[in-house]
Amino acid sequence: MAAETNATTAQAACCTRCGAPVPPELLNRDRPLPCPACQAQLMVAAYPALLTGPAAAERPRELADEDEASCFYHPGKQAVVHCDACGRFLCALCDIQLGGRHLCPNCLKPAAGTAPEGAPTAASELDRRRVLYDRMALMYAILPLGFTPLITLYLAVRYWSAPGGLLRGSKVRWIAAVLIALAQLFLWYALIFSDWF
Amino acid sequence: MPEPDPSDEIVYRPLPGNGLSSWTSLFLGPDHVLMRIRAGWNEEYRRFYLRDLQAVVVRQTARSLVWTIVLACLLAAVAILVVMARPPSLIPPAVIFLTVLGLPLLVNIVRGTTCECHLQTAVRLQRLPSIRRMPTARKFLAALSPAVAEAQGRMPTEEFRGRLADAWRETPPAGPPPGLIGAPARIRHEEGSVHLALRVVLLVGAGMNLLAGLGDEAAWVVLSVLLFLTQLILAIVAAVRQAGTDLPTGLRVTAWLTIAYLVVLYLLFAASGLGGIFTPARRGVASEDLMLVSAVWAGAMGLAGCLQLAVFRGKSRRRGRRPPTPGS
Repeated sequence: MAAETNATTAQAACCTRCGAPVPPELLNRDRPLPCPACQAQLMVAAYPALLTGPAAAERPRELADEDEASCFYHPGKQAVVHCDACGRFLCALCDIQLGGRHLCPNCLKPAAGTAPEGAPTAASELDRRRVLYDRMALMYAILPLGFTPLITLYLAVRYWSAPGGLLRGSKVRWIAAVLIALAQLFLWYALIFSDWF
Repeated sequence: MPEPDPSDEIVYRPLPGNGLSSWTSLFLGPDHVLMRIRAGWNEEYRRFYLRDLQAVVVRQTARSLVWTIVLACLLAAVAILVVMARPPSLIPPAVIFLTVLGLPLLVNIVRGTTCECHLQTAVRLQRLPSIRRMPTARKFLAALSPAVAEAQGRMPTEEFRGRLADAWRETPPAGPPPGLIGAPARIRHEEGSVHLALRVVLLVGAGMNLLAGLGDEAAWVVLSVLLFLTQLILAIVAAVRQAGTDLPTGLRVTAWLTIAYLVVLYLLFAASGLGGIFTPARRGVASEDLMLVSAVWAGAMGLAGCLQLAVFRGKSRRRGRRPPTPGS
C-alpha cells in the first residue's frame, strides 16, 4: 500500500495504581511482583504490540499524474484500494479495515439504511448497543398487573424479528414470555368471569 | 437494506469472569475481545482487537483481606460475647449470626485474593470489572494469551524483554499518555504521621487497660473515654488521608482494622453493661476479660503498626537516595 507511515515508538505497560511504567523484567511473570514506584502487587502479561506503540496514521498521497486512479471521495488523492462492499476507489484516509475487509465510510452506515449491497455483514462487528426486547417482554409477562400481558403480546408482535443480544440467538425468552402472558390473561379472565357462571 | 447473512454471525467463546452477579462479561471472538455491559434491557458492547492488545495488567487489591478481617472481627466479637455471657437463650441467635457471617468469610477465603484487571491498548486503558479475583485473572490470561499470540505472533519472553529494554534505552517511556480512559491519579507520598500518632495512642490505651483498677476509677473512666474518642478520630483521619498515597497495604489495612476494632470494642462494652445479657455476678468478670482482650489487641496493633511504619520510612529514605528508573 503506497502510503507514508510515521515512525512508531515502544510503549510501556503501566501500573494501574500509580501510572508508572512497569520495567521489562517484571513483565510476563507467573506471580505478582511489586511496582517499583508504589509497591502495588502487579502481574502483567505484555504482548508484542507493546513494541510497536500506537498504530501510525497513514497519510494519503497526492495524485502524481492524471492517469492515476483517484479516490472516489477525494479526487486529488491517490487510490490505494477499493471498497469490498461498493467497489469505489479509496485513498489511505478513506480506507477502513474491518474484519479483514476494506470498506469506505459510506458502507459503514448500516443504521442509516443507506448501506450498499454487501455492507450489512459488517454490522455485527459495529454494533455498540442493543435493546433486549425479549427480556423486557418476559418481565412484563411475569408482572401480575392485568394489563401487562397485553404489553408482552404487543412487544412480541412488534419486535419478534428484532435482533436480540449479540451473543444469544434463541427465541426461548420470547416463547416463555408469550406463554406466560397467555396463561396470565386466561387466569385474569377466569377470575373476572367466574362470578357470571 | 439487505438482511445480514446468518453465516456471517460471529461466534463468541465466554472468557473466565462471567459470573451471575457480574453486569459485565467478556467473550473471545475470532479477532477481538468483546466486553458486554448490561444495563437493564440494554446491552452495550466494547471491542478490543487482539492485534491492538499491548498488555493485561492485573493488580492485587486488599479488598478480600479487609473483608476477611472485618468478618473475622465480628465473628470473634460474637464468639467472645457468647462465651462470656453463656445464657442459653443467646445460643440459637448466636449460631445463626455466626453462620451468616461465617459463610461469606469462608466463600471470601476460598475465592482467593481480589484484584483489578485492565486491558491496555495504545490509546486506551480499560478496566475489566468482571475479573475481581486472582484465580479468575490467571484463567483469563491463560485463555486470552494464546489467541493474542496467534494474532500478534509469538516471541520468546527473554527476547521480548530485551527488545523492550533496548527500545526504552533509546526513548524512555513517559508513563501513560494523557487522555487515557481510566488513567489513574498520581500517587502522592505520605510520611504516615497520623498513622504513627494512632499507633502511639493505641499503645497508651493498651497500657491503660492493663493498669485498670489501680487508680481513681472515675478519672480512669474519663481518660478511657477520651482515649477511645482520640483513637477513633485518628483512625478515621488516617483512613481518609491514606487514599491515593504510597503507604503500604499493611498500614492501610490496619487503619481500617483499628476502626473495626473500636466499633467492636464499643459494642462489646455496651453489651457487657446490659443486665439482660450478663448476670450481675458475671458482669465484672466479663469487663475484666474485655479489658485484657482489648489491651492485647491494641498493643499488638500499635506495635505492628510502629514496626511497619519504621520499615516503610526506611525504604522511603533509601528510595529517595536512589530513585527507580524505568528499565533499570
